[in-house]
Amino acid sequence: MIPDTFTDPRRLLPAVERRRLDNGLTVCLVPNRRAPVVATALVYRAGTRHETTAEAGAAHFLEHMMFKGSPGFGVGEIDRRTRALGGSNNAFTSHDSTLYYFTFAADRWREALAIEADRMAALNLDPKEVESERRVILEEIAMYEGEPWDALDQAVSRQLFEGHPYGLPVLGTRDSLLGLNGASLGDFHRRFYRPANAILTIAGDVDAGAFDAAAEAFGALDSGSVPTPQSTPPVSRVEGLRRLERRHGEVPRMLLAWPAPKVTDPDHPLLALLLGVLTSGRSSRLHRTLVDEGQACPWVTSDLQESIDAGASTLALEVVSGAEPEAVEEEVFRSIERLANEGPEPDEVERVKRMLLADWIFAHERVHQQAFLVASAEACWDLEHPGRYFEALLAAPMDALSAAADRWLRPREGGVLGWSLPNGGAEA
Amino acid sequence: MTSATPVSSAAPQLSLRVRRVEGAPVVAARLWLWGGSRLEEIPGQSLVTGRLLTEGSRRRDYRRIALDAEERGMLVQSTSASDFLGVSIESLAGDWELTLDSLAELALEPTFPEERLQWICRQASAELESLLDQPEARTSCFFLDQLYHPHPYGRPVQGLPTSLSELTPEHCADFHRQALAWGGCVVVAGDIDEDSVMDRLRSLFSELPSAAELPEIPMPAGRDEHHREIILPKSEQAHLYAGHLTVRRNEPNQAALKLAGIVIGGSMSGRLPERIRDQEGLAYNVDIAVAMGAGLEPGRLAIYAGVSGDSVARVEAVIREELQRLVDDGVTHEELEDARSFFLGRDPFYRETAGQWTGLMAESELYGLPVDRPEWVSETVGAITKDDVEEAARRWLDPKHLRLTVGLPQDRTRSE
Repeated sequence: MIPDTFTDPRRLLPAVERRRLDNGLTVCLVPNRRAPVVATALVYRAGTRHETTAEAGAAHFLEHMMFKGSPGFGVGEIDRRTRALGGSNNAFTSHDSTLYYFTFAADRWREALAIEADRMAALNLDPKEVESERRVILEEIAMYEGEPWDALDQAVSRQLFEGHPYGLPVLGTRDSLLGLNGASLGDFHRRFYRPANAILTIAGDVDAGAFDAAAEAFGALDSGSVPTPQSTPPVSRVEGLRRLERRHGEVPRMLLAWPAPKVTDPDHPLLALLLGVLTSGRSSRLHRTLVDEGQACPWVTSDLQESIDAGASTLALEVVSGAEPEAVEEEVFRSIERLANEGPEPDEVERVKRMLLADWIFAHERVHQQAFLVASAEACWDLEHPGRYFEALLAAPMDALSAAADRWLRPREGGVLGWSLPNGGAEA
Repeated sequence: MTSATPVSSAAPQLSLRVRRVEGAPVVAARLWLWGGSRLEEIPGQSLVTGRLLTEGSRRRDYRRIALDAEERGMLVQSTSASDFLGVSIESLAGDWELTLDSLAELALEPTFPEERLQWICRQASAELESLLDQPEARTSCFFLDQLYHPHPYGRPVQGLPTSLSELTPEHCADFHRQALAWGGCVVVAGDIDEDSVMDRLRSLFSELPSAAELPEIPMPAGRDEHHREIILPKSEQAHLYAGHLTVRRNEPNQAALKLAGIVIGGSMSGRLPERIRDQEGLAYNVDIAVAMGAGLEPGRLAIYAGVSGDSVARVEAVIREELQRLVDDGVTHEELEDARSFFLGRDPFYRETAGQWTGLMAESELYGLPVDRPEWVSETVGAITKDDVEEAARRWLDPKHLRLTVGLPQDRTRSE
């Protein structure tokens, strides 16, 4: 029996109801009653791309300060209140947006709305707390710099996206953090943390009464003006293949990145399938040649960025002791170029379609995952985007795939190849 | 909504459990057999044996196993932990029969091909290298060794590069035969017909080797040193682990200890995160667990903080102070009620998916506490008193005998 999801991709998606409050706040409801739980996700269109040069790191710094005091919830009160109600919370800042979430049992989830509305209205930004949190973020920067993959990723992104916010670290730098204070963070909050610039999603064991609860919590907030979309420089296409090498530890690690189309470009789902042909599952080309049969890498993976502006395709791997990084690199390029020149085979495309759809289902079973999906889609594109994307992915014709391979699998013509290589006992 | 869990047995050492999870888009199946790294003779033997279950059966080689699964969108994974090994499969709901057939084939008909064994051992060795190359993970490995040495809980499940090179297909086949004799469980959850699934399981797992008793092994001892420093050549941060052994997974009174753990810092808030992160701004990451890794052997109190090299002493002092305060002064009624509410409030989130249900069912079956029954969790945690929590803190938390492993950036090594 072929599961329905393979013949009707829209069955993949949770049902969504959407309303807009008078002040511009978009509220999405995703009923799912499989468990008595509720997740809320509030996304602001405010990320690294919205910062001025002097504000580098402000979006992320502000994310931390959203837990450090607002008129109705003192320092630490949000976490204490969340815990006392058996909930969880966290937040993530990206280049395009910032997402805050809560999860609660279904009988107490409305507390999330009270907290979000209070800190959307205003923040305390006590100078002492700003200083304390600055130290915490400096430790966060140190943590990422010490981890080999994070450090390599930042170095590669910096070169690939030179001149574009996607090349900047979301956390800012040690120097840029020193230039931020309560006033600059408050200014960022006033500009971007407005109802008309936010999407609230409520997913789980709820009914239409959740709309009333959202209106009650947020309805009195001033809409503010919708920020003018930040003009970001075009994503640069690097010329040729840039190489960079770092010396770290004992394990060779490779990260290859090259430009990809926008997620709304018809080529994006095609490229997702092509990268799947290269690395999805043990039957994929690079898994066979580098892992199971070549036995040179313990694993290999790829990723396709989903962002507002055009992003990157990336391919990452580690090399086992005794294998030659140069030979691995040659095989990577040989496999990519063969796919670019000859296109994929029909049976491997069908296999990858099923794998990507099944993976997607596995990754969106839980209510907080559904809340993230809907809030992010509405914030960055529109609610129909995931459905359109999967329809295009499932319908991808072979000739279009071959043409997309020719267009988008050319890292030697513009890309960055980063290696983190063993230091052999020497510091570099 | 879910139904009750029918329990059955095909062979005396193997329990079978199924649960209907209405509306679940995924069917999940797990086979867990006793015999993890705890019972291996050669470090890494259990992990390699477990992984070889998906590397070839009497019916298919590894390529065919992978291709058949991927063509259906099935996720097939081997499991290798300290106490058990096995296989888990997740697939789309309509594929439940294929899922169970595959699970039985991989578990009961493995061939342990020599060529695959060589590669799996190299892969495991590479994973070890990668682990030791990452500052926090490296510190964590040394902390485990400090608490458990020479017990197998004190080493990564991957074993050691030298021991991996000793393994042969016969070692793995023997270990697998023993694991089948020691037994374990098969659990299935999803939007399924429970009777049909149970019938199928009984038929698939009807023939196993004769049952054998699970062997006893010596208790963990740990290293003599109470303060261990290691150098992290490229780290920007110091990584600090502090703790000691606490309770086994089947300890009936552990819920009181877990509530004490929530008070000290079992979430984003709690006494330790509030002091270290919120009040003093010393760390981004502060994690606390009171029974981490608990199984047939005791788990551990594990307090972690990633801090600057200059702050290690301060953080260590705060950890000792707060643990001592908990042991000496206990908890307030408000703290207890908040901790109880947190514990019970999180419980439904562990029961959202078919895969989560199978994890709870397998844990319940192997360790004997009915954690898959929400009403048992609710009654047990609901009955805990302030005295229970304080007694648990005094009994199982010991700030005077904390063991610390500190990974220090190369230029911040502290002289004792």
